[in-house]
Amino acid sequence: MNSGKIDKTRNGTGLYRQEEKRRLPKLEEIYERHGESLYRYLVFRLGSVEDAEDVLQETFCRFARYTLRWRLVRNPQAFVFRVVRNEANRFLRRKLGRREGEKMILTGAAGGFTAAFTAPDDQTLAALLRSADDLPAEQKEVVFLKVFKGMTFKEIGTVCGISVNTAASRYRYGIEKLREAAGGKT
Amino acid sequence: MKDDKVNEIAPGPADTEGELRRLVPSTVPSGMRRRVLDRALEARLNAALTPGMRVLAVACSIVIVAVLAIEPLVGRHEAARMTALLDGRSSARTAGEEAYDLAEVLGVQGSEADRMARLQIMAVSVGREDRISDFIEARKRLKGWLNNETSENPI
Repeated sequence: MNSGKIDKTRNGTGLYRQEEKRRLPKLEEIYERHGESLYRYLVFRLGSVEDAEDVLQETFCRFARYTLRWRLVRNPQAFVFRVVRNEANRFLRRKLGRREGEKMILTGAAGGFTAAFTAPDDQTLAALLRSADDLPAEQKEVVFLKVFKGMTFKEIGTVCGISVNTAASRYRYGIEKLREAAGGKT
Repeated sequence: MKDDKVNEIAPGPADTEGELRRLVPSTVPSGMRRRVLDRALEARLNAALTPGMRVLAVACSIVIVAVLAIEPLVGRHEAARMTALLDGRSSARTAGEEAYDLAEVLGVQGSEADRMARLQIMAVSVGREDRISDFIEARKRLKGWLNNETSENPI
């Protein structure tokens, strides 16, 4: 007679989740969960490890100032990536000037896969890395977030400020291009 | 749910994704965690406003904006009320103002004192004229009676 029983484990987990949702996350906790992912994303976006660390520091300073906003966040992963993306864009505008910065943000020329990953010894993999870097900026970003951060298209849409369908189609086009480049078109 | 559907229908060739996942991410600089967290905590400590004060500041600014928005409306209403009150009053004007207006109408020139003196003279003369006209009227009425009445004096 399972119907009359209360699933204590499940109930407990639910309560824990609610409790966890309500309290403010500590900075250390945010770093443990997202710090390195954010750093790699910044290296991918900015193409420089020094700039990436600077922007990460700025982002965490911003997190330190947020109090009320944390309580309103539904998806912490999408939120932190969105904040770090905005901070990276601000950094590029500040560094290169408004016009050049905007151009750099749109083209995504500052960063890329090559900056974020170590050069592979495998020739096929090296070719794939080059092909990935040749993708248009918007497809490159969606592929990066999907493949390496395991985000859903909804999360990617939140991070990049695009719709779920746009995120999905960008990913599809990007992967198709990579497949064509690798010569594996069926 | 919709997102899950999109995830399902989006064709993601496992081979390409798998190949991409074989890429090794660049290493994170040593001591970065400490540097990032130290700076963030320092920023939190050096923040001009504590989180509580920030909430208070936001609340105060909302109140100020509300007052600024409401004030002209209340002021307009108040002005309308005052105008209505002033229009309805009967004896708020001073005697000086009345005399000034009267002098203007009658074309009396000169200083304030001159005007007042001439107005007084005019008022007295108007009163005298009234008395003379009363006397003439009485005399007219008595005229016939005097003609028909026999004299009491012995002739």
